[in-house]
Amino acid sequence: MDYREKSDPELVELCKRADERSAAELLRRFERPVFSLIYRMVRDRELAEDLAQEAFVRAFNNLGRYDPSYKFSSWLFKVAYNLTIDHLRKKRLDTVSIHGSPSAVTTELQAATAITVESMEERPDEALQSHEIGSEIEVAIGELREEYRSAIILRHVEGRSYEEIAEIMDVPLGTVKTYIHRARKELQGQLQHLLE
Amino acid sequence: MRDRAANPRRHLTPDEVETFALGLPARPRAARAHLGECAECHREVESLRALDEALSGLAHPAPSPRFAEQVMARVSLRAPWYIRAWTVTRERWVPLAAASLTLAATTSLMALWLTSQPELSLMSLSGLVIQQIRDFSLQVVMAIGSLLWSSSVVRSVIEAAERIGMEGAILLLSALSLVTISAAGAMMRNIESEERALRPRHWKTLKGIG
Repeated sequence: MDYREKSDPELVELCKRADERSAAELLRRFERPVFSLIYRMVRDRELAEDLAQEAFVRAFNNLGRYDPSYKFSSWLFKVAYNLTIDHLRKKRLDTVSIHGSPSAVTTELQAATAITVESMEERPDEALQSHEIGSEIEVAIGELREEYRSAIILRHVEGRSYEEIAEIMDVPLGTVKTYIHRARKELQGQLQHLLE
Repeated sequence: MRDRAANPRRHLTPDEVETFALGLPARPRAARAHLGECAECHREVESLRALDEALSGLAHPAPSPRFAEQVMARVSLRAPWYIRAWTVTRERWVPLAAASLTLAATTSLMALWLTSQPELSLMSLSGLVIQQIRDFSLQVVMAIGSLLWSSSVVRSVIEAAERIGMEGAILLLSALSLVTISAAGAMMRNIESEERALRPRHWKTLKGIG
């Protein structure tokens, strides 16, 4: 049986019958797009690999919950996106503490409880990773808000439709359009010299 | 569309700009006419086209070479019970068909034997109910037994039932059913170990990584 010739729904059906070769084929098809999306979101190769691994494991181990009326790739991206966003939100919550204890009611108390951190600018190792995954365009994408970043990557890099992006990000269609429109404007502003 | 017909000078909407920039199929004539005349909209379309080309040309960075192996080591696909049952049935259809035939034959014989008993018609309703429960219990135990035991064993049980009476037979078959359930458990464990053995070795050895 040549798995490379099978469609995604056929492979998913075989996966549900515990055919591991079909899972390996689906993994081969989507490992790069899923990893790329996560990598561009978190800008850390090791972390991106851990999150991508977790996304695939969760998707395959929970195939019983997959609704075949949606594209498998959209579902997989949704799992990956949710994991990544959860991680980024958790990370953001962790960093809130650097601004001082939430229970500190005065500016002095906040200053006293705040943790001194190094510059919030990109660290040298992160800068290296930005260089690794691309050029000036990658840096510009990295500076976008997380929601704009994922929406613009899904639309222009992965070629997903607005409807699919809305499903993946679990937001209304109008919100997706707004994210993409704003992301384009920001990128066009930053990359004007390249796009002319 | 109506808006554009009413006001052909109105600039393209973001959706229309995208339609032209990405070369999507729906490109209304009125909007196309406006695009031919409006330098601002033309610039918008060209700018988005350039951005799309730049973004769609970005590479997909690859994960490390061991990524797939590490994922597969953590994946445990498990088919639903009915598919597993069907797989076992397909692979072992000869003994299962024999067991089913034995069960059908045994049930028919039992029914024939019961209807041939003259005292059956004189039984009270409660006696009949108890008899039915006994018959049912016997059939259940026989059914379980005939799934895994050979027809000769089932025949021996029928003979024993005739000699030692129904209560003794039920006791005997209960003991046999305990053995049967243990055997079925052992068989399922055996099937699972066979399935594990069929997996490619490198996935098994990578278990625990990640």
